[in-house]
Amino acid sequence: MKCESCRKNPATVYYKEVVHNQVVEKHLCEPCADQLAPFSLIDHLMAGFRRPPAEPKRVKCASCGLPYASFQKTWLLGCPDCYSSFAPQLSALIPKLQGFERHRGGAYEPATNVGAIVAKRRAELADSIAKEDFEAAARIRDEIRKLEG
Amino acid sequence: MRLAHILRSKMEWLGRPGATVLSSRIRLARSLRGRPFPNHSEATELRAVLLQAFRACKGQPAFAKAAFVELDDVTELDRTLLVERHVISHQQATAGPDRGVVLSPGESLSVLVNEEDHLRLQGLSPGLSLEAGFERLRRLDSRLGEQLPYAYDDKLGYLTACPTNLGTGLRASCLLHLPALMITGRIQTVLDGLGGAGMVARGIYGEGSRVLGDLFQVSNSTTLGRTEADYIRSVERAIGRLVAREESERRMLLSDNRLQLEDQAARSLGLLLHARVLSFDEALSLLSRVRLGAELGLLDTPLENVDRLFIEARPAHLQVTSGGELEGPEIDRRRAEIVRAALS
Repeated sequence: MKCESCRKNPATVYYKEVVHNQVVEKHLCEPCADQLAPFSLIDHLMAGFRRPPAEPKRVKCASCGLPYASFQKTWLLGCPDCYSSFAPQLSALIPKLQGFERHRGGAYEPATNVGAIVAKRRAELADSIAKEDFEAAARIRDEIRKLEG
Repeated sequence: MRLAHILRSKMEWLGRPGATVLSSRIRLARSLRGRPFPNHSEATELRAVLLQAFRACKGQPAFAKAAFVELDDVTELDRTLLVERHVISHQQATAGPDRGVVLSPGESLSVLVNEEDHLRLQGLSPGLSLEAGFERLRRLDSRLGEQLPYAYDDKLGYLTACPTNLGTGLRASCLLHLPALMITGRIQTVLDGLGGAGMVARGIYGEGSRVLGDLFQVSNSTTLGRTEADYIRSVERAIGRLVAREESERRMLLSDNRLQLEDQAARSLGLLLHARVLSFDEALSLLSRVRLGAELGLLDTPLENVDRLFIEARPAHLQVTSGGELEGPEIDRRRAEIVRAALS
């Protein structure tokens, strides 16, 4: 889509304004958008929302069907798979929001079998005994017995 | 255990009377793989998540005596009570059916189901105790993760409905009483300074610059790219600096404006003791001054009574302790009564 103002550059900014109680929507290129709203706050707020050139209006999540445009309005994604569906858009936005792009916290390692769960419980049991929390220790000991059948 | 019983029980998380840091809270946002987020879910989907989450929580030792509450099943008054205790958000209270909360006695651990994310695990503890509070929460998280398929990505961490919670999903916050910084007018500068440290602060009651009761919540502003322990340590450090600032302002006020400070505290106490009608806003502002006066030894009002009133003077709490719903003016009359009884 071409910019609705200069009709030359590709439209990369979605601009919305209320004039005399009417909502006016425009698709603009960055220079034209800057003329309409020249303050830097807009720049800052819009930084994550500047559209990549590839007609993202049609981008929808492959799993839940949420359009990317809906996320732009509500800041809420539709399902966990939206992160892969909207990876091109979000990979630019996330570092701006978070300052980093990669998780460094604890990893999710679900215990998949009884053996692994029992091993985890034994560690918890040792922990509770070390902290002299004998009530918890007794509970965990019962749990281990149950798991081991 | 019934919800009413839990809400009438002692609030374990209320810390040392008069402390600058009232309570510490940590929450972890978790979502379930293969399910749409609550805001994008059909009713049947919400129902399935609620049942799945309740089932997983029922097996947890930490929830042996917990209340399992479907918010649609309890009265509006009970929902407001949960909001006043900061257990659920106002948004969650009014979101409609298939929202729920699992709440341990004393409110030290809770799980919100179908708020913005499928699960929000919360730990609440008295005073400045984020690290200790996190330990319990981490164990609950690990156990729930065995039974529930968390949505997790190696690069992005735990996947949340809003990317501002992505990664660790961890928000560590403290509730602080900062009356001296408010009196000297230095609060804004101090809070602005927190931004650079990756913290965000907001008043608990009131809007914009009109903060009621001088109560603030400070928390980490980002959740991705650092470890859980890093986020918790940075909040604890920021809180430590804030407390030191508040204390130095108090010392300054005491040495330069002792008479004024004492006068303000005593006048506030006078109003609280003699008013026959008290709005929540007025009660909160006056209680804040009395709390400061008592903490500095200018008044001999027992601090634990003042602290209790910060919670018991709230509208839903008042109505529950009065045994039923009250109309607007009745609430203010009743508030004046309980404040008078607690402080005289």
